[in-house]
Amino acid sequence: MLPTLDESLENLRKSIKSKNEAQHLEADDFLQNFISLLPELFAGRDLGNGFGAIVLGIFHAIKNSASTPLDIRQTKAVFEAIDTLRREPYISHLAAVDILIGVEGVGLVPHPVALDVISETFELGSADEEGEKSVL
Amino acid sequence: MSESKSSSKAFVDTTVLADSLLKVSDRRTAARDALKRFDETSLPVYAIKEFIGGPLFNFVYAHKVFMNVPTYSDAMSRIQRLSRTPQRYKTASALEAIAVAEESIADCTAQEYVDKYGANASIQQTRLDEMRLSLKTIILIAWKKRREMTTDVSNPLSCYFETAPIETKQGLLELPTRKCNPPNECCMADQLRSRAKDVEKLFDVVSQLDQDRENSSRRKALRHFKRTPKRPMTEDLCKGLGDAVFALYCPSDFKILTTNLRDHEILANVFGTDVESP
Repeated sequence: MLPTLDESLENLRKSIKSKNEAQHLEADDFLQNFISLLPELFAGRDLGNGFGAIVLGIFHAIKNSASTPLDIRQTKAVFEAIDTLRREPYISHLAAVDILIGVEGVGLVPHPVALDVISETFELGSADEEGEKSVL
Repeated sequence: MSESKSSSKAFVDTTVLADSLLKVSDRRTAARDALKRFDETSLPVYAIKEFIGGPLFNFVYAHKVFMNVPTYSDAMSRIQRLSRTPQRYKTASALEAIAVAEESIADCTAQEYVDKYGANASIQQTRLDEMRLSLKTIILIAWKKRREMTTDVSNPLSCYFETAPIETKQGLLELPTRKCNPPNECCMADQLRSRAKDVEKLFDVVSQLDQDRENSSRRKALRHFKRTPKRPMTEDLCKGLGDAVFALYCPSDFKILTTNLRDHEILANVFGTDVESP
């Protein structure tokens, strides 16, 4: 997993450098390389829930902003999140939540849109006590 | 509705809090933008109580479902069984929509990852874990940020304690306090007794509405103060008041900010309070 994390960070570094040089197409090209590594990083989520949560959050943050390329602040936030995983791959889920709050802070939404479908389902029905008991 | 800053103070209801924290797409953006439109935004603790007992609890429940089933489709079927309402058709449609609406990391996984990382990398397991982790993450973020979405949290409830979600040994989340635990009665009871005329005005308005489950509970709670005001106000009555709490407690120079204009307007009009939606 560490080589994939290193490759991810290298692509993000190059993307940030290209953005600084106003090479936007090149910057997005490096970002696309990074995105292609996320499914493999997620496959390594045995490292812990925090690891999986951050990889997944970054994946959906980028997917949700697909119509607008990440700006440099957002790319840096993604870099910092992945850099944290490189340094602390066994990060707890609670600590991962703080990292993802930082990702939200730069205007990204690190959650799958599928959650909207689930919440709309609940708005139509209701998860009452009976529903809760039926699961357990 | 996109209005200019005609009033700079908003009394925020549960729907806007829930949209800003638990929605992912347009409604999240609309709620957060609306909160930024106002100079002051005040969130009554009653909204936090409703949020924890309603939308947040629903997500905790969904997390349990995804934790307790072997496949993603099992979980979705289980949630679908909630559609015990007249809205059954719409619920089924929404669930069908998930197949086309979502963009899952599982769709990008590859067979070589299974060889390299084991069965956890299979599409089915990836999709299941994606929902488990996503639900847990959004629940924990929502909990952390529930008091940070507005400039102020107001109208404390002395009989309601916000206790963080706990995780069981099995990895399930639990919300320890979804309800109030008043020693004798709800802490709002005396305030409501002292506003008997206001409560009566609301009762008259609610009595004229269709008596669906929500209005019926609200009417029952308001009737309590009209007919048996000396009897203790229970947790059920507190819960039953619902939107009436926002009408009763919204300061005179604030607007109520809600996605549920229809229900709130009827109640807020009693006190001449404006209502605005994101």
